Amino acid sequence: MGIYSFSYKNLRRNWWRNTSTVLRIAFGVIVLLILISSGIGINTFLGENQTAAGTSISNSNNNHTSVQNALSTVNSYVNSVLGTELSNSQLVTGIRGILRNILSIMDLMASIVFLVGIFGITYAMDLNLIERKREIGMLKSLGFTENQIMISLFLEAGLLGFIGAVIGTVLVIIGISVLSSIIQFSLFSFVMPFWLPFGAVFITTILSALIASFSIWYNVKLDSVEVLRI
Amino acid sequence: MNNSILELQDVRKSFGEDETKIDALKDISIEIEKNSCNLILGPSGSGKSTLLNLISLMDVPTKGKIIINGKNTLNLSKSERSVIRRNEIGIIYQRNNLFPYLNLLENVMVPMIRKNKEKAIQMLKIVGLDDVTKFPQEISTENQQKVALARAMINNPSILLADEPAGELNSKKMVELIDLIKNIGSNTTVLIASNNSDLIKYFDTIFYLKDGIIKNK
Repeated sequence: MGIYSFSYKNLRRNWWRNTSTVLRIAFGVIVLLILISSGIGINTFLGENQTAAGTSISNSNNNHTSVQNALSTVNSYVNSVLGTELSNSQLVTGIRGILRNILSIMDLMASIVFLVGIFGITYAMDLNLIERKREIGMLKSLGFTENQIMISLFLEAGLLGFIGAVIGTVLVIIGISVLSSIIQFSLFSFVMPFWLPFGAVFITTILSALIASFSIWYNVKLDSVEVLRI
Repeated sequence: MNNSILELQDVRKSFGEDETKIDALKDISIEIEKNSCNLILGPSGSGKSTLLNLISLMDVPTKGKIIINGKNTLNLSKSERSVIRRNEIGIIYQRNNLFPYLNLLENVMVPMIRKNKEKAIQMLKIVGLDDVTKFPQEISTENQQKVALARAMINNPSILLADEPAGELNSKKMVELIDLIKNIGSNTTVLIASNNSDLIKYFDTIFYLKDGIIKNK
C-alpha cells in the first residue's frame, strides 16, 4: 500500500464525480477523433494528405470511375442551374476550397470540444483536492516528500485522462467500423491511421496531468501545519 | 549529554510581523532522554502543538536549534526533514488521523518503508485490533487512535509524538491508550502534549508549558 496506489484508490472513492469527468473526456476524444478521421478521409479522397502509414476504416470500393461519373453529374447539374460552363476540374477546385474551409471549422470545433472535455479534469481534481487537504498534510506528517505526493496526484489526473481517452477511442473505432460496414458512402471515407488512437490516448493523458498541475502544486504547497489544525 | 535523543536550544517560534507578531514559543531549551516517557502539560494556546510541530520537523523555528539523534536539523531541506520524519518520528494527532477510504491494514501500511503485510497485521494485533479489513468509520474513536498508534510505530521510530491523543476519550479509555503508547515501543522515546493534569502520574518527566515558556520540569 504505497503512496502511488493512492491514485487508483482515490478514483474509486469519488466514483460519480470521476465517472462524469471520464465521460466528458471520452466525449471530447470521440468528437475529436471522428472529425479528424473524417477530415483525413475527405482529404484522402481529394488526393491530399495521403496517409501512407495509416489504415483506412472505410468502404474502400469508392473507385475512380464512380467518382468521375458522380463529378460529371454534379457538374452538369450545377451548370444547368447556374447557367455556367464550369469544367470538372474547376468544379473540383471549388469543392476542394469549400471542403477545406469546412474542415478547418470542424477541426476548430473538435479542438474546442476536446479541450472543454479535458478541462473538466480541473474541476474534478480541484474538488478532490479541496476535500483532501488534511490528507495531504497527513501524508507529509508520515514522512512523504512533496514530490512524492505531487507525483501520486499527477498519476491520478493522468489516470482520469487515460481512462476517458481509452473509452472514447474504443467507442470511435467500434462506431466507425460498424458505420463503414453498414453505410456505403461513395464519396466519403473515414480514415483512422494507426498513430491516431495511440496519439489521442497519449496526448489526453499528458494533457490531463498538465492541466491539473496548478491545482496539485497549490494544494501540496499549502502549509501542512495549518491544514492539520482543521 | 550522550543519553539525549532530542535537544532544543533556545528555540523560538514567532507568527506574524511587527505589531501583529506573536511569540508562540520563547527561547525554549530542553533535553529529552532516550526511551523516556515525557508529558508536555499546558493549557490551550500555551504552545504545545507548536512545539510538537517543530520537533516533528513539520515546521521550522524562527530561532534556535533542534537536534535529533545528534543531528542538527537547522539547515535541512524539506525533503531531508521528510526523510528524518519517516525514519525516526511517529506522530499521532487528536483526530482524523486515518485515511477513510483505506482499511485498517492499508492505513498502517501506508508509511512502511519496506512493505510487510505480516508486520502490519502484527502491529494491529499488538494494539488489540484483529479485524484489519474494517474501515476507520466502522470502528470507535478509541480504536481509530490505536490504529494511528500502530501506523506511527510501524517503522520503529525512535521518537513518538502525540498531540492530545486521548483528547476525545473518557478517562478510562484515556488511561488505556496512554498505557499502550508508553509500552508499545521498547526503544522509543514518547512525548505527549496534553492539557489534562490527570496524566502526570503516568510519565517520567513533565514539562509545564505556559505562554510559550517552559515554567519548570
